[in-house]
Amino acid sequence: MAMLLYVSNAFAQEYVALFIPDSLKKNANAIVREDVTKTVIHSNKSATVYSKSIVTVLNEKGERYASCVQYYDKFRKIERLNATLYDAFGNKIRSAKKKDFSDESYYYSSNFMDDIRLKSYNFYYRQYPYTIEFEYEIETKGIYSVHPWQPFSEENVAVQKSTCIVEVPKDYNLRFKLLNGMFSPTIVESNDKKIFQWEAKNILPFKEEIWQPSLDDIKPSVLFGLSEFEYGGYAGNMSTWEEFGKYFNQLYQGRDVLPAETKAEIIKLTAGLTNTKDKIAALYEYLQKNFHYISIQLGIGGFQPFDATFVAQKKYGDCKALSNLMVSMLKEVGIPSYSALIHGGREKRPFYDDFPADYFNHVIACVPNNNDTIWLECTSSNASPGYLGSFTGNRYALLLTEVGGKIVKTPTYTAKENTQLRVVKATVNESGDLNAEVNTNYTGVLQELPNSLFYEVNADERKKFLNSRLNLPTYTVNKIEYSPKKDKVPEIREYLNLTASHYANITSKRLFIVPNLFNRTSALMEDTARKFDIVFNDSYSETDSISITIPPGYKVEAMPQPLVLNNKYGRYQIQYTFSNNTIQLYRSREQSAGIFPSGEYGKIVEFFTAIKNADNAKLVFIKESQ
Amino acid sequence: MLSLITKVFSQSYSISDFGNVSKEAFSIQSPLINESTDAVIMGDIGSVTFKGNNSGWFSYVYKRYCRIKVCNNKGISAASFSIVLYREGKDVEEFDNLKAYTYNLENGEVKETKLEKRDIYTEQYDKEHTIKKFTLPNVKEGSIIEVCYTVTSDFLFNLPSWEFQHEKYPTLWSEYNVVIPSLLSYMTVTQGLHAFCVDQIKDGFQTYSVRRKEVTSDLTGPRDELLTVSSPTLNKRWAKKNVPPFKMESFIASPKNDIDKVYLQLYETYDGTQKHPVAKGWSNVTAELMKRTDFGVPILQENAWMDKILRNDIGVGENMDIETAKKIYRYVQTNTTCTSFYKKYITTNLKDVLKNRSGSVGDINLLLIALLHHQNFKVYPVLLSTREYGRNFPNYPFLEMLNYVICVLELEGKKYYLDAAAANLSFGTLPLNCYNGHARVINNDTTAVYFSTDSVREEDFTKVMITPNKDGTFSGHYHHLFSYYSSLDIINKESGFTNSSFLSSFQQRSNGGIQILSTQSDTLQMIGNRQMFDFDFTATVKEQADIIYWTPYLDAALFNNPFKSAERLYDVEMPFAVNTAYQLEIGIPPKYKVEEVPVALEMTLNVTDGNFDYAAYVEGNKVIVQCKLELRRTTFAPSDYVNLREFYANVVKKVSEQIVFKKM
Repeated sequence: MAMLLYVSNAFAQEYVALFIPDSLKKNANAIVREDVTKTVIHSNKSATVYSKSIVTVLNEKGERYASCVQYYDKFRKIERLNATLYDAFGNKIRSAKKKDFSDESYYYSSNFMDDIRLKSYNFYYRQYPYTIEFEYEIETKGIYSVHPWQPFSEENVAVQKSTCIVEVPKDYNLRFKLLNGMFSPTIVESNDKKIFQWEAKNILPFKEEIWQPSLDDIKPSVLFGLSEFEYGGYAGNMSTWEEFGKYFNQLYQGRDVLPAETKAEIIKLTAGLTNTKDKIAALYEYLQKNFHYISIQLGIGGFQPFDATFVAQKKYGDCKALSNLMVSMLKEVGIPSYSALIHGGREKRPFYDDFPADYFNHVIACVPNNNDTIWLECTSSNASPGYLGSFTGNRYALLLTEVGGKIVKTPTYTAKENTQLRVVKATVNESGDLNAEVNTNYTGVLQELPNSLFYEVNADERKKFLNSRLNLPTYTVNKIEYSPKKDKVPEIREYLNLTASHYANITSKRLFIVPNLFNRTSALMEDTARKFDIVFNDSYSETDSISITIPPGYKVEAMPQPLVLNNKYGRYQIQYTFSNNTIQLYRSREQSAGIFPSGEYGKIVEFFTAIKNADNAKLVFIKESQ
Repeated sequence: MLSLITKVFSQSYSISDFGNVSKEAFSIQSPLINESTDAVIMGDIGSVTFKGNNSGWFSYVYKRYCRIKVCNNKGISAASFSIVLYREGKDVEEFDNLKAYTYNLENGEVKETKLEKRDIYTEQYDKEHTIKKFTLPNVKEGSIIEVCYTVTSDFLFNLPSWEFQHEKYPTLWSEYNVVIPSLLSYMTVTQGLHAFCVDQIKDGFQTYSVRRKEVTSDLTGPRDELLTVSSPTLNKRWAKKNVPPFKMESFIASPKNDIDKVYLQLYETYDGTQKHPVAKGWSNVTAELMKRTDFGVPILQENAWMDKILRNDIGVGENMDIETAKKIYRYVQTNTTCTSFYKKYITTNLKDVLKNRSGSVGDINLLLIALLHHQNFKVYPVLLSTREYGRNFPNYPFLEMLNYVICVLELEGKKYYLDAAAANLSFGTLPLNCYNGHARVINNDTTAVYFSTDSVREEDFTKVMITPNKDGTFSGHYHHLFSYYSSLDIINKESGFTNSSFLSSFQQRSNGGIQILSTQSDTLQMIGNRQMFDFDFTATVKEQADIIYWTPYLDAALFNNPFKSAERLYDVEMPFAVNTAYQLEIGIPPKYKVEEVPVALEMTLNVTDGNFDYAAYVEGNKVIVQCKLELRRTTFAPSDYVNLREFYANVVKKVSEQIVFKKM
């Protein structure tokens, strides 16, 4: 009896919030007391995932770690769900089982239709500190991936202990990759299985910093890769890119058949064209004009495209369905091309070409065209053929070729391609009201925003957006015009005519004006305790040439000095002149992607502060007669 | 030829047009269609009829026919539909008879593509809602689509409301028809800026077959009984044509109040011999609410279990003073989380609310009322609609229009309005969205109370002190006392504004060359229920400058006119009245003299609606700027908009003026 009591007491340790060391609590909103994830791969056909996490919530900001959520779908069955609430002393207050969890469709989904569902439960305890234990067990139908282990958790969360266990049949080749200083596992082998285990303890919370590297590049973690697998009824092997590509080839097999009507139409469309590029452009335009994006993800449909016949008839599909249609159409006119799996998103995700795995969430089409590769984003009704931009540029894609998968790099866009050239002609009247004609030419990544303003939103929304974006007090946009030019590096010209009342401040003696109408840099806070490297992800160059005519009879009282900054952090130049009642401002700014050590943060703040002050500088005029 | 012209110009749409899309329909023109039109609702017809059901009463059948033209790529989303169906226990809304076609003009011929059954998806959203989803095939720029379907429902209290106006697309013809048996009486509410072109009422007559279980006295059990009911009907028809898309403007309490719409609420039923009022006047509604097991009963019953809660958990004696009330309020507020702000009834039971520590606004505030009542306080529920939920009508006790319940406590001749569902609220204050006009106290007198936004005065105070240093730099201190609701906003931000994020966001938008010192802590503090923000900064001016300019307002956020748009269609409805004071003292740098200070300004808005007083003057070796902005009225008609916008433009202009120091 005494023995039993002792054991249960010891076990209850992780539920007692009062015993958490102060070193972990500092800067923490929640503490992961214990976290165990155990994945048992039974065969290439099934796996069991067991997880238990015990989290102590310290304050209101840690609340989001208190909700117990798990998802399921056709290939993922929740066998068990348990949630238990403990108070600060480790006393069990309440518990919930699977039947108590709510069951809802995945409301954050951006898909028009899918079959992902969520089971969730929340105790809403709010008497801090308290502890939640959440356990679940999932059976998978088929196997495809093992969740990476990243014990170094999120901002303001400490981890007391985290364990990752993966068990596989003895002859199964489980691949793993250790990242950012992650240690090797202990491996235990028995007659029929191999067990890999990692364990980490006492990880302190950290604070996020501006321009810090992506957490994936900092956090020690383990990535897992399967070898033989079966998913959605198709078997494959992902130890090599080539083999992994073959898995998808099976899924795509026979789905490239076009209806006779579509065949006839595209033959007709390309009949007069001799140049391959023109044919690609014609078919891409046909796709953009007649088809649109709708995301329906049901069962294996998450990986397998709708067949080309279905898409040709319905005229809609998701990224893979539309890319597959594009590839099918190109094939019909004798141009080889491939579907390419890629990660789409402005934020770049890590990718290791020596470690095949599914890093992807998107599909585009790739036309090799004898080394003059043309990439096609098939979900957009307005993208330029060949342009990928910030969504899929500068990263790796997996081409699904006849002989299997092949990794290729997509184009990178530098400060030369991403430009913004602005010419402003403005006048200020006697009451300080400004009327400006603003002509801006954007290219590359910088044209993406005006491009979507032109193609994707209507006039009212466009006006509303510009209203919120332009840094002017009371003003009205009288006219907006866009003229886009499609190209491998697309361009768009924007014309704005706007009036800003009282833009210049006119007193009885003076006229005050900030001639730099747009493009004002914000200041940064100093941070002496900067920890992370500074990462600039964007490359761009901007030029502003502004002329503002003011009412006659004024002479300059104060004019900002010209400033030229040219260092490894970037380039900046600004200068002013005044003649014939007209202010001339020339400003240029160039920034390239780069990484700098944390110790240089102070210098970077200095650089940006100097730019901010110059950008916001005032010109002051005084009446000549006085 | 003549008939064709009429067709194009009248642009009405009728059910018989469904399925007959002519070539001419593709070239439809209207002054409402311009380059920013993504799609056009060419016709949209809804109808509601009734039929007898199997449970001895009526169901309504809602039918919708619509024709939409997709003008460009952005309009393609108009061809995807999500229809939400409601269920409550065994009562389920049924979706049937869907027909949907896409028409394209190809080589001068109209080509039709039909939506196939297998392309209709069903999503079980949650326990109460199912969503039918479909997207039409073969849709592209220039396509016309037609869709019709029916929804059958037993939920007779409110019929589907009908919007004559779309939020994005112009509507050329929109029509709603209802045929209501005289056994059911509905009150109709219409709203919106645009006039009806049809607004008709006709009498009709109809026979309904109602089936019900007949309870028999013999041993055969209940039998099905078929009743044939002949009833006069009220046939109403409304139509509007050429309605532009709804334009969302800033400072609108709820677009639900403004969009062109008609809705119908059941207020009386008739069983052939007797009338049964559904909405019986506030006193009856109140009496019934107090008899409901999910509203009044749990408050008034004995609730012996509450003794333990009050004495042990909350720790109050039998006193009935304000401190006791505060403790009970604080207990309910901090121990529960509101998961639905749109359910005014108890969804489980009061004990479970405490056990689950969560519930609807009804669960939480009725628990508060029950606890206060158990302590013998004089408390009553108060029903209201929150701003975003839309307005409600003082003269009509339609409970569907009220989504929220709060508590009124009457103590020592004072009334305290309490809401324990809103986190961090101070005792006796209400969330801003409760200020939405009429609310109803649920007691014997059923008093109407009005929560007016004019009565919410947000007081905000800033004081800045700047002293020149010998080395040509300046040092300063910034002090900002936030108004009550801004303070609440700051506390309620879940991830929380920390000292450093507050400072850095100020630094980013700050005006002029100030640099906030980064080593400060505790810059944000609570004083009572207000947030105070205090920090030190330095400013460097150009060395040996002959002239120094200072903009007194350091927070550039004040330089924006909140009224961006030049025109206004709907009332400006601000959530509160404003009283903002700003003071600045700046020392005159040694060896400099004051060259220019902004000229004083006293300005009023519509005489008494608001005023702005600005003064800048030299006092000893300092320049002092004092400024006050007051807005007493919160609601302005569109005709007042120009004045209001100009008033703010002048404020913005004035606060951006500078102080000029010149070297002697």
